[in-house]
Amino acid sequence: MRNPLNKRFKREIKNGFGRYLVIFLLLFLSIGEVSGFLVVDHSLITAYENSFEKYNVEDGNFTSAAELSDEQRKETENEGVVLFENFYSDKEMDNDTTLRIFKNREDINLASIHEGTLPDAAGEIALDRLYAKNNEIEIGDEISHGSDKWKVTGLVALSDYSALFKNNTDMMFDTTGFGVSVVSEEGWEKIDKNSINYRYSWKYNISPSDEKEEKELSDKLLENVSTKVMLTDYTPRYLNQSIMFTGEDFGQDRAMIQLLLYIIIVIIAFIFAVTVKNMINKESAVIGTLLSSGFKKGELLRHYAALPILITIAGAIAGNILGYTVMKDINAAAYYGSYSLPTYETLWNPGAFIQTTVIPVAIVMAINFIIIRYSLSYPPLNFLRGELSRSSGKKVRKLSYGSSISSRFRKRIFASNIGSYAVIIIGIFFSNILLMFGFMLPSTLDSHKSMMHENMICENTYILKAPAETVTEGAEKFAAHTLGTKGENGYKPEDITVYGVEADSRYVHVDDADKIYISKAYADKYNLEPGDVLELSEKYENKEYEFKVEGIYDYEGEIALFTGLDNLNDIFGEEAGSFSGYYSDNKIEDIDEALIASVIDEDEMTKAARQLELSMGSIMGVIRVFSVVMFVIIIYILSRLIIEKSSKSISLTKILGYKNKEIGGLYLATTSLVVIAGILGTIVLSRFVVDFLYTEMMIKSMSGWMPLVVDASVYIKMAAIGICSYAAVALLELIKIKKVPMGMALKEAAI
Amino acid sequence: MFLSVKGLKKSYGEGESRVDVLNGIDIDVNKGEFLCLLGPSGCGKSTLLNIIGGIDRPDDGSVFLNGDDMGKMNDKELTAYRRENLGYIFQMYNLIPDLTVRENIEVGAYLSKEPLDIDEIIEDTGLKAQQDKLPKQVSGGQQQRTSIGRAVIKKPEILLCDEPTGALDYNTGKEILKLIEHVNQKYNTTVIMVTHNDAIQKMSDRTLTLKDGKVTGVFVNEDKISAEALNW
Repeated sequence: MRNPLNKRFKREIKNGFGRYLVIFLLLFLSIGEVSGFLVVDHSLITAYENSFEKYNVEDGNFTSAAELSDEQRKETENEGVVLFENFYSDKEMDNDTTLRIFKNREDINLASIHEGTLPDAAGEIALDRLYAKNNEIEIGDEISHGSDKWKVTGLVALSDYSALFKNNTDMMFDTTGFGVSVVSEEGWEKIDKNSINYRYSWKYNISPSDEKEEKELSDKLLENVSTKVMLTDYTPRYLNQSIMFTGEDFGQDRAMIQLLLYIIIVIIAFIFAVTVKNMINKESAVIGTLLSSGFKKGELLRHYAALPILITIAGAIAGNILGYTVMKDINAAAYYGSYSLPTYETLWNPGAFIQTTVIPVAIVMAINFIIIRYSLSYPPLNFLRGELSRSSGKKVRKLSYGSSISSRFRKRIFASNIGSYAVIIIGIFFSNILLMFGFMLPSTLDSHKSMMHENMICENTYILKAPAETVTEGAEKFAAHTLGTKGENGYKPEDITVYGVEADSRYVHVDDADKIYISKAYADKYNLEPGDVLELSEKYENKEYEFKVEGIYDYEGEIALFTGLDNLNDIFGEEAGSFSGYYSDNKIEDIDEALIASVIDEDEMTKAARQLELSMGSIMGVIRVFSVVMFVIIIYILSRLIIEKSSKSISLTKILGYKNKEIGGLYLATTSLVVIAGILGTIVLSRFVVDFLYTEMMIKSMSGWMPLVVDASVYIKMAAIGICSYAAVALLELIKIKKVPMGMALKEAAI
Repeated sequence: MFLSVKGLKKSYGEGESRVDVLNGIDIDVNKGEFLCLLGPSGCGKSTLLNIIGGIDRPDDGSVFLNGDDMGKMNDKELTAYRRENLGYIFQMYNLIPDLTVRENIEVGAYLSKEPLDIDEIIEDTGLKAQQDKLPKQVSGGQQQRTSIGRAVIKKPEILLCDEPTGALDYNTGKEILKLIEHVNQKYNTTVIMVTHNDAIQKMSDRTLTLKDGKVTGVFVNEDKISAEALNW
């Protein structure tokens, strides 16, 4: 026979409808958002990975100073590759952006059409969807470069430009100032021939089996092609940021989003547990009777835990439906706001179901079982007598008779609700962590930008495609070599640049050119100190290097190592005097632009921060709103529980002649003090937790380093939001106090 | 007249489930009088007490205290009425569980402009040894003494007692009745006591018997005896 007690679930939901509805909505929305995010993440990664085959993405490309002759082409293809013309022309458009125009590719790097059609005639163009959106260009609009004009016929995603990097050496892509496009064959004929870059894409006849083999094939190809062709650029696919960056960036937010969900679930689990604990206290006489009648504690445990679990399951299922429908599109829009991705199909994601349904239910179940089991651990007689406190036999703390009865009353209320207050403070703590996450980004990015400005090694860093000399005053050679971390302990593998600088460098002041220094960013991110040993490896080879850190160089611009130029060439077996670029405060004008891979200036250095602001700004806004909502809900539910728990006493004080204002002063003032102290105290504490979580997030899921900066205005905003939210809740609670009927004191609790 | 109840009617529920609890009650009570309301369960005793106490409102009729019509009072005025004039003693004591015995009595003192001395009340109620304990740490009798202390300390004009001995054993019940008698005599407090214990009426000045929401009998006690002499 089913437990007849379970028949009261409907009544219990009806009685606590407001509370359960709010908890359900919190579950529904948070699980919906995370489910939507994970589904889109999975679907887009799959679409992105499939796009390599579906759109026949190149294995690499090189740019020749001139169009290849038939013979050069044949000789190159004899190296085991098929070549495809992928010519382009960069145009400085009238809207101050750079548009890269390709002839529509029919065999390689095919376009995914989002809207409209591919160009058919001269004077027509299909634009990258994201570039068009950010520059407010629509199908049918006309874009121009001086007297050249094109009518936009379609919005597309080019499969070799999922991230809009203008140059492969750029630190960050630029979705507003740079775009890609395709024109028809007729349109291409009208392009000024002097502006054409002769890029050739290749596909291997036999695809390499792994990254190592890919590098070997690519190095071999470079060796052979460079003897036959005058190369100005050579980019194998695995090094092509426009193709690979998106794949590496996918999933970077996953850890943070999941962490936020589990924080919310833990808070909800505690809210449920406190609610049930109060219910057990209220119904102690009935529980005592049931236990005396032969009910087992296990039966009561299952009964009291059932409602929280059922509501969590309902919230999780409804949340998943929301995730697969509405939230999926919202999250997809966030990705499509950063990347030029092909169209995608929604895929069922069993992992997301486990993370958003099975784990939350397990968390609620575990926390509630532990707390309810503890609450039911008294003998039946204790329940019958209502003695549900371990301290019932202990001496009561004596409060000075000198203080007013109201003051002592408040202290006693605090002492008897200390468990609920602890949960309130934990809830406020978690909310403040979320709130700080929501607010930290602008101050961190602003600080990053100004830090980059103050921290630049020099005004312009030139990275060369091939060695070239300059007589520019102040230009100083450096060599750079890229190694990778191993990605152990769950850390994200990342590229580390090892710089070799001149012994008496005016730009990088290392004390000893034979020693290894790490940048401050490197030290801060990985908590490294002098004496530590770094194990780095060549990304696509089996070569490993060990470096003993001998000093920290005050440079926060990138994760890097510094040593002397000779020492670096020595370490990597390069010829003495080899170098990769120049540091210079003056512009270098005597090197052919074709030999310059990229110039890193302040604008380039802060592009990463700007892009982060663009891509994460909206998520942070959502987190801010969500944390405020959660904050209000937690305080509302828990302070309401305290009032419900005290409702009999409140009712009694009314009978005795206390005014509502006085009762509010007793019951709400205590909660107010706790909440305000909790808000202010946990703001400070949350800084430490956010610092820890931020560092973990950076280490485990992001490349590079941006020190966390939380300026004073963030703390002020957090305190103001917290206190204002509570003021609104306190008003509702005052209404609740007014509504407590006097008759309640005259009734006995009934199940 | 100190306290007058005129034509009091009260019912609960609607339609077929409507129950008429009070069917026109008229009572006059003198200052310092000890009045017993006697009757079986459901006769309307507690409802009458709650209406006199200003925690429930009648459907019809009114209660006058020193000529003031309670029926015309709003919620704030009723709160002030309870605060200034009434002391309540319940069967189940209704103490605030978070406060000590002393603090519960002080709650009563807080409500009065000129309360009695707390130590004198604690002495009178015999709670000196228990004053720093929580209600759950003392016996039922001591809890009821605390409840009396809380009601008395504010020097109420009327002490409303709803089955004050209903949850107590004979000896403890008698002790509580002695205490109420003491308060009635010492402070000239009007006492209205609801009980279904026939024996208790012997210590009152007057007894009203209620049945089906009506006063069915008035008995003036010519041979009033002390609580000490009560036996049941």
